[in-house]
Amino acid sequence: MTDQDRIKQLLERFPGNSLTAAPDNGVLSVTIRPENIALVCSFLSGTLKYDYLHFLTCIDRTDKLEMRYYLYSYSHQGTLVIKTDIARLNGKISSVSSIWKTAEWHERETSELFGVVFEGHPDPRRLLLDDDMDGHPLLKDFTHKVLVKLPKA
Amino acid sequence: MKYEIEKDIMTDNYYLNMGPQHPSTHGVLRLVLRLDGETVLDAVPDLGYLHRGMEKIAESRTYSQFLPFVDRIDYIAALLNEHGYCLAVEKLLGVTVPARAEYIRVIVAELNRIASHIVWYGPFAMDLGAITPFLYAFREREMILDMLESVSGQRLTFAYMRIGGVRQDLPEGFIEKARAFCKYLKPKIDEYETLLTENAIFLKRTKGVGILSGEAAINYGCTGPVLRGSGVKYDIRKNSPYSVYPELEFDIPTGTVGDTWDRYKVRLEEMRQSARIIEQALEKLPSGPIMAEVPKIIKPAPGEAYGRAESSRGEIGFFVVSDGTQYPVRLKIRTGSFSNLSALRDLVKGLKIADVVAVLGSIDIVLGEVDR
Repeated sequence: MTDQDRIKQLLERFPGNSLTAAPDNGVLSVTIRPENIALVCSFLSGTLKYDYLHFLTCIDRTDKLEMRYYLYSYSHQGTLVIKTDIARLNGKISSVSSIWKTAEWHERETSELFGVVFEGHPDPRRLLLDDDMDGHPLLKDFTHKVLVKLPKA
Repeated sequence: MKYEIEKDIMTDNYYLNMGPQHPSTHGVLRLVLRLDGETVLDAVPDLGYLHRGMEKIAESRTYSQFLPFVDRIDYIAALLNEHGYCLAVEKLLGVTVPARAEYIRVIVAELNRIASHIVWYGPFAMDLGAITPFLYAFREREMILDMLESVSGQRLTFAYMRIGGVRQDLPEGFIEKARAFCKYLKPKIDEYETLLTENAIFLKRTKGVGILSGEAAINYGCTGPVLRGSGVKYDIRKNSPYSVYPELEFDIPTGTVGDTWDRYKVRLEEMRQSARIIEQALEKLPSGPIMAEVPKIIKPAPGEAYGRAESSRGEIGFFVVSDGTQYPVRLKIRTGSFSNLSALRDLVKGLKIADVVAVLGSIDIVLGEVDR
């Protein structure tokens, strides 16, 4: 099965305009609506055999957050990236940690650094930051009293 | 006098803090152990003691300025990190690195891999109570560090690779020295094996302890020797080749059971394979430039790229997002230790406290890489 076949299967399974799939720079890229993440991921891991999640992360575009899920398959050596946009403040998305256990820690990290809420996460505690820390450091407008701009020389 | 002995003695479960200041947690890792007597019921890792906000720092540095920080993510295998970072930025830029530079990169990276495995081997044996292997192994590490110092001027955080090549050419006499070292190293690895492999205590402590199945390893996102120890024959250098690895011959050692012993054997064999790679790369080293034509101030076109390399602890990957300025919008660092450590909780359930030390040692974590 090639990437083309996999795109076909994806579009058959998720008809309408809920999903777009196309190769982008040699990587199969799938753009979805955030509410479909759990369904799409279980289809990708089950039927299409994407059994390994490299990482998941978030990008702050100042007007929205972009989620990225990088997947790989040990059985057919294909790479796939899932892209979806969520709200910047208290953005919500379903957890995928029941599909790939790697996601558990990556979601905890993304949650504290960007303020994304992962619904249905089994252990939504902080991972790297202090419990009493305010704000989400990787948001572009994050400020903290110890972070001062260097004076121009 | 007759004593009535109560038959059902109830004991309470209790909690024990292992770390963050504990020699066998290899850095500042805190494990919260829930225990029944000496049996581990649960082990919850508590991270973040070495969190330096690398990903935030990257957003206010140019692509070249961030290179020295990359060294400090996994300070034991700095050159392997640099390789991964350079690959990611070069992918974003679309730069082709000259052949000589890639060969030099492979040579120094594999030397660093051996040094890194030595830093695992010595303390791992020490965790299990054997002091001698540490001293034997660090003798060879010293030679590697001397060689890398002659190349880069540094012994731990090299900052030797550049986006588009390497900083400077190999010094005079390096090739002969490296060749002699590879010849010298192979019998030394046999010596390491003599010290541990047949040792009855060592076998008791490692065989069948902390078994991780292949499927579980994949599901947890384990990579590197931990994944291969569980019998999955996967190495980024072979399966998703980068640099000049396709031109070099080497084997991928794998385990069968996925226990502590298998992970130990895999790493020892990897040291032999690294020596083999270095010998071939020295033989094939072409002449030519060592830097591609890269502008002084790097401004990649808007877009994103994920570059990854096989580090000594698994997949080191950099996800770089550019908006066309000289600073990245986002730099995500995906490290091997991070995902490998997440499997620990399942591995140690039901074992004794002393086994936690053995299993943790066999995963080979570097906290700088976990916390970033």
